[in-house]
Amino acid sequence: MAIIELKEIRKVYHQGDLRVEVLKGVTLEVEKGDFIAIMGASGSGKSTLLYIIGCLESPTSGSYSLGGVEVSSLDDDDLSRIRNERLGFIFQSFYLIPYLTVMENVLVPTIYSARRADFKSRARELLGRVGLSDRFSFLPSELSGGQKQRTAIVRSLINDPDIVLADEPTGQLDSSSSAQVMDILKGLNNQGKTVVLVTHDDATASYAKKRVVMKDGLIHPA
Amino acid sequence: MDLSILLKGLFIGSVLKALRQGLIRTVFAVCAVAFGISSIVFIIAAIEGSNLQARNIIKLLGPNSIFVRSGFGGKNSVRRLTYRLDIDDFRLLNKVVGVRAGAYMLLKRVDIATMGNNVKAYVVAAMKDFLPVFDYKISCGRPFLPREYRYAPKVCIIGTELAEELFGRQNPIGKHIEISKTSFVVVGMFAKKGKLPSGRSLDNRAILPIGSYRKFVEPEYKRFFAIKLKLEPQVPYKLIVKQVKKALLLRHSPEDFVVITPETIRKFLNIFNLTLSIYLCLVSVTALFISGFVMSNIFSINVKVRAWEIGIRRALGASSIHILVQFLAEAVIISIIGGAAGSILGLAAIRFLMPLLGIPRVYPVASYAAAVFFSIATGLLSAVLPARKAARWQPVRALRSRL
Repeated sequence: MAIIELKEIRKVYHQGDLRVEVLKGVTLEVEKGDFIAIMGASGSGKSTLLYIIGCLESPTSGSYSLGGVEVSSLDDDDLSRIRNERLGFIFQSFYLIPYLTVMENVLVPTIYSARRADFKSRARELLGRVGLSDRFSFLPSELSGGQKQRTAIVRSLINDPDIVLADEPTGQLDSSSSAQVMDILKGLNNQGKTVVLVTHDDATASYAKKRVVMKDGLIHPA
Repeated sequence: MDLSILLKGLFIGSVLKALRQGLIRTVFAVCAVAFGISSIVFIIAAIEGSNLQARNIIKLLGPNSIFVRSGFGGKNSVRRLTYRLDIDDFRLLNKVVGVRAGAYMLLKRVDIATMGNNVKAYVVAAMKDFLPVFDYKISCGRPFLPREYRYAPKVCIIGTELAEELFGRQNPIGKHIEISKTSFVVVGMFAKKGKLPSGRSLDNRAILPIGSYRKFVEPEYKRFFAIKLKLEPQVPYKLIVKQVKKALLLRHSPEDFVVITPETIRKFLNIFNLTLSIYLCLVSVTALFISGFVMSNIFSINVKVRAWEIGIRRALGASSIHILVQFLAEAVIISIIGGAAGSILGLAAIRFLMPLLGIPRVYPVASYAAAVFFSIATGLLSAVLPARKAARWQPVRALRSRL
């Protein structure tokens, strides 16, 4: 069963009089438990597609259903709740808040969650699993790139989402840290999480079960 | 609107850490609020203080009394002291219908000494009705006897402050003091009278019968600067004032005196209060506008600098309301700290500036309430536009601002 269903998704940006069509009718289905890599050159529209899947951006036209819910009919509060509860984000630039510790960064999504749980214990356990049990009170500036990305991965998992969306997660990492991060994502997929990965790197994409390529705003099979 | 995040310790901690992260911005914003608030605290205290001063002056003048003061007529007459009233004026005013008693003010600063102490203090001449007319009450010993007004006995009545300076805690009655190198016996002590509006104490004085004053302190003839009259309560007040003015104009034309009544004091202080209020209102409104403007700019910069943080918070599940609440909470905390700092600054201004303005110090509760209200209102008003702007940003646009 498809957890993500995109039909004829178009995205047009207007820059003054200039009309830029980034997505020109993308249709894509991602099954529950899938691990898909969206590849493509810079400017091909792959990140825009990921942001639409992540409810961070709305398409100009087309339909997008997430777990059977038509996303275009939802308001800001509903979209925020979906991002908070069902989606986990990992970005190339980590986006850790510089004045919060590793533990506090990991717990940021729980501020916006209506659920009540022992998030601190869960954070401790997840940080332990990615080898950061001795870094709870460190600031992001005191971490290596790999540690930052592992912190960001734990943050994306704190609310136990169904889908993990990763935008060039190894873009700023050396090869050994990249391998570590991708092993973690692979492990998550093995536990049943759906993973959508955007990358232009073949080695990173090789961890995925399925690959598609974006070119000129359209999806092509790899 | 879901405001439950306000109850989450992690949210509050994150707000406080954000303020610490942008410490310079926070300090400037706090200063902006503090200056605005301190001026409001000061203005309220100044208005209350001058009202208290008005009440004090009226109390000092006493009930059913008027004060005739020598000085040029016109607006500034009260401030300019001249010595143009004489004994004939005094006799004339005593004959005005409705005047029950009168006394004039003759005084001189001289050396007063005991065996061990030497101080400079005012010696005041007392004619027959002086003590009741100027509302002196004897707290210890006795007043002057009627016969003591007729010749020049070496007796005096002193104030509590002078007694303490000269004799410490000992009872001064019966003791000798030297005034202008002549020894006088202290026969009485008058009850505490407090201070003049100028801040000068009325309790470090010695009073001598008029004959003794003329003989030992100031033998040469001298005009005086003030006459005080006690009025009959049953005669219309305004009529007496009119008659007093008419009588004095016979001898003082052009007018070189001022008749001070509780009404003229009230009028003068009302004008003074109004001027002070208008001036201070303008100053504090301007200060609040400037602090609001500074804070608004600081918040705009804050929102711009932290755009990507807004983006990541949105990606992690913050709604636009959560972002709005985050920035408004920061503004409220800045306002509370600024309001507290402004209140302390205002208190310091009351403590050190009010005496310079000649206004009694008061610390009114209303000024603290106003400080809390205005600081939070200024903070919220100046933060609401930048915070709304931040809340309305598309998450992707905010995230990309870092690239």
